[in-house]
Amino acid sequence: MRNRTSISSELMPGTLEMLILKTLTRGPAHGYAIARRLEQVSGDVLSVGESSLYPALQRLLVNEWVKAEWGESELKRRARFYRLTAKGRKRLVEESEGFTRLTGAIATILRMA
Amino acid sequence: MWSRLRSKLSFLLKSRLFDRELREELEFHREMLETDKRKLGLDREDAMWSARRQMGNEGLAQEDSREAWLVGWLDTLVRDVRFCLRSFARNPGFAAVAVLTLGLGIGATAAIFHMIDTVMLRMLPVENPGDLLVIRGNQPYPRFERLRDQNDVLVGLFAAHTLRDVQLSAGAESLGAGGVELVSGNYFSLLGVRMTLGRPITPEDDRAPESSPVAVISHGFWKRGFASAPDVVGRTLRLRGGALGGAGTSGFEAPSAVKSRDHVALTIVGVAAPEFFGDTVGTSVDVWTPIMMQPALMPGRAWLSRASASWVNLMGRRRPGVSEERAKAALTTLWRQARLDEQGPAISETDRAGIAKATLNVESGEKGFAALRRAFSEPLLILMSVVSLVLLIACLNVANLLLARAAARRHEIAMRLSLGASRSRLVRQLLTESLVLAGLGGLLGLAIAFGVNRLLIRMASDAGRVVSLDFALDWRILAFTGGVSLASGVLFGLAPALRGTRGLQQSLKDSPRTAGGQRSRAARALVATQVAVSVVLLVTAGLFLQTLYNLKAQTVGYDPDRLVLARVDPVGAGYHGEEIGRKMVELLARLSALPGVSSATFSENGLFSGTESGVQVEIPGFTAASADDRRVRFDQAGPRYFTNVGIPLLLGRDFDERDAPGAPRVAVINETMARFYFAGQSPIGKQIGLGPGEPTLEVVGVARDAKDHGLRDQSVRRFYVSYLQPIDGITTANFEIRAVGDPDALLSPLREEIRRFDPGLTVLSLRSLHALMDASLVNERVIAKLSGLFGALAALLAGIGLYGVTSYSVARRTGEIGIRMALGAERRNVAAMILGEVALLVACGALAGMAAALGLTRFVSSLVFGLAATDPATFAGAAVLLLGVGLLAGYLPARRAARIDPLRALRYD
Repeated sequence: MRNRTSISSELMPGTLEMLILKTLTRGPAHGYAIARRLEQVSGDVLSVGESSLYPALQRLLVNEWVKAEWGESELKRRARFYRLTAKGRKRLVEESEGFTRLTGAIATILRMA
Repeated sequence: MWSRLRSKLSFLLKSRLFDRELREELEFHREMLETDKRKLGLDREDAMWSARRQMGNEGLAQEDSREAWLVGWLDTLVRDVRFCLRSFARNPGFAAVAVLTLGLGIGATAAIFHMIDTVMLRMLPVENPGDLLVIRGNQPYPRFERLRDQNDVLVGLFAAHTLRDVQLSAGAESLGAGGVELVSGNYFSLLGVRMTLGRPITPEDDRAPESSPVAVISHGFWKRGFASAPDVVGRTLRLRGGALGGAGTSGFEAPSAVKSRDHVALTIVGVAAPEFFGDTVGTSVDVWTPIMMQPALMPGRAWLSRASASWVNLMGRRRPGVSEERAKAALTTLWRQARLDEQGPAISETDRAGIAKATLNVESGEKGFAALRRAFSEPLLILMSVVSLVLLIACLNVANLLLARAAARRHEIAMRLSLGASRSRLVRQLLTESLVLAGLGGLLGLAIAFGVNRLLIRMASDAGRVVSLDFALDWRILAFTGGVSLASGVLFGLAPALRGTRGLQQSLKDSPRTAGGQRSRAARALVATQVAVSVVLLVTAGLFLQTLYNLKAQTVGYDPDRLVLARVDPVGAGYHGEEIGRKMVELLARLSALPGVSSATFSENGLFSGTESGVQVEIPGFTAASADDRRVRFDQAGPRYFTNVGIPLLLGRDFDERDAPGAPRVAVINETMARFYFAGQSPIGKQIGLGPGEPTLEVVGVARDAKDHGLRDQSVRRFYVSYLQPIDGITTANFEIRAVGDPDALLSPLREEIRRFDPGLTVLSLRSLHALMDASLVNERVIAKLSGLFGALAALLAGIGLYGVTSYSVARRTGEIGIRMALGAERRNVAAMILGEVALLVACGALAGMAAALGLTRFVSSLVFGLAATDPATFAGAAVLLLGVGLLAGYLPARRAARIDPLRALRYD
């Protein structure tokens, strides 16, 4: 098995939230689907545990960056679906710009120094 | 910000729903995980366990999710509070002054609120107090029985009568004096009082007079007198002595076999629940006993059967569905009928018409009988207004301090704003600071409130009236204090916070010394308002202090010094008919012979005893325009009454031993009565009729008007008859004894002598006339002292405010003053300029304050005595006083300004 990175403990604070917001641009999803999608897209490099996923979702709810609704899952089970709000979309743009700048800067330092 | 706040609040309200939903979500997550594992080929069991393992700590996930909602605001709150506590620690003087100021304001307000709550707002601790009705005024017992049995609007009606200062003892042990309430058998069941031990008094105890000598004791008395002994039921309680309570009409008895008894023994059958203090706020009852024990406890008064002795208080409970109005109408009809029947068929037409028009005073009984409420509600409301103003001044003062602080922190705040702090975040932090101040002030205020309350009760009680109120730290006082603190915190904190964080881009460029013109204007407005409110308070205090002084300086028409009043109960001692007068003359001789007594006499109602008698008279040759014209007050007076009390006789003679039974009935009338009925002629020899079948009196003297019972009393028509020729049944005798020296030194020899004369003769009251007069002024004194105290406090706070604002202004204008001095201004010109500015500020405030006071003092005009509520001297005095305070407060900064060295000042900028 490849070496996996757990998002919550090893990345900068706020990154998980940003990744969730990004995931949700593809459309509403429930918590499990979000976790799956993060793992798949990252090619199984990143893993997200429930104990960081759900608190992160709550933080997004508090800030009104996502909205939650109860709906029916693919398997006809009741599940909570998260949807990106306009505020969340704006936030995502800001965050990803900041992040790109930051990682760019870090990458430069790593190259140059 | 608001919508986030709202969603957080709704989270707090719906936290259980939140937990359930989150659990369901995590459950779903695990199931999905399990399904995926099975797709990968694990069997059912393995898939389940594997999913569980991977999920790890679900509790932690829940915990962290909850925290997402709370951490934001709690965290900033904690940080803000820590931050401001640190800054208070750096500047303890500011914090101490602010907290102390607020503590005084909040404490005074909370204390008065607590009094109002206890005296006026609290409901009786009984079942459904809202259904209770009180009938105002005492009623005779037979009339009570009729009202109780014949009405169809009440579940029940009970009667009660309270005896004060009854000596209580159990076994050989004295338990001190206490209150005993005589109650009808339905009292406890109707109020729904729970019992801690034993049984209540029941209708079974009401069968016949003295048939059931039992007692229920209060929880407090059980604890105090019996150390909460669990076996108290069945023990014997002894009662002796006792005052007459407030019986209205005479209890004159036909000769009967009345024996004076040493004591009455009652068997304790129960202990009432701790919360039940009785039916009257402010008076506590220790013992309840069946009303059928009345003849034993009040010997010589067969009041259970007398239709003319009004002595019981009535309270009833409405039937379900019966409105207060309907109950009142039904009871009034029944009451009128009862009164007509009591008069018999010989009733005159005028009396019949009078009864038909009379209404029974029925009011809501949820707060119990109203004695203390009526006596204190007016002063308490006035004091509440006063302390609210004091609190307002305190808030203005702290607002001013905060404003100065915000100005001093302009640079810091501007810096933080430019570094990206949002304005709302800074306002929130500044508000947190004022709320922390308010919270600390509230805590201090709570402590002060309890001190003030004890003081108030001591002031309101005197030897003759003990006010017992149950002050406990309950949620009402806590909620009130909390609410007041919060409101004042926002009141004094919001404006400085908003102002302090506005338009700061400029202030970063400015030098710290030139900024602040704005804050100075705001501070001046605050201080002027403080001055205005202080003027209102000082005017009020001035009015009440002068009222008290005027009342004390009232001439009563006789010399009040060195007079002692001794009130005894001859009926209770077993005397009857003419024997009473004879015995009192005998006792008078004994008391007059005591060393230290200069002269003595006696009368029925005495002086400042609070008991008055009235009657309707018919004067031949005088046509009465209304029944009021026939109404006259009277007293029954002993030999040499006028000479010995010191009321000058204008015409005719005093009473003496000759005015005895069998001799012609005589009367002495006062000046007002003489003028009213016999204008322009000599009243001597004129006749006073007392109605058909009643005796006629011959006027033998005219006395100067005197104030017999109240210092506020206007002169009223009054006459006196000889105590030995009573026109109304005698119930008591009040001895007026003039001492040679200190009247208080005479009290115990007098009590001794009365006991030696007849041990069965109870002394109901023994006090100097000055003590009685002081007692009659208790409300005036409490209001005058407290409003004076609060007025002084207000002036002090205004002075502090003025000092602060002037010092600040001098510091800010150092450069300007330096230039003035460099250009030739002299030191005293500079000082005069600063003081002139203070004076102008005070004058503006004082003018506004006087205008406000002019509008407000009319609400207290009924309480002001001897001067107008708009008395110009008082108004001017308040303004001058504050001007003095202002100049005093401005003196130090002005001196500092005068000492500024122009060279250094100019270099400084």
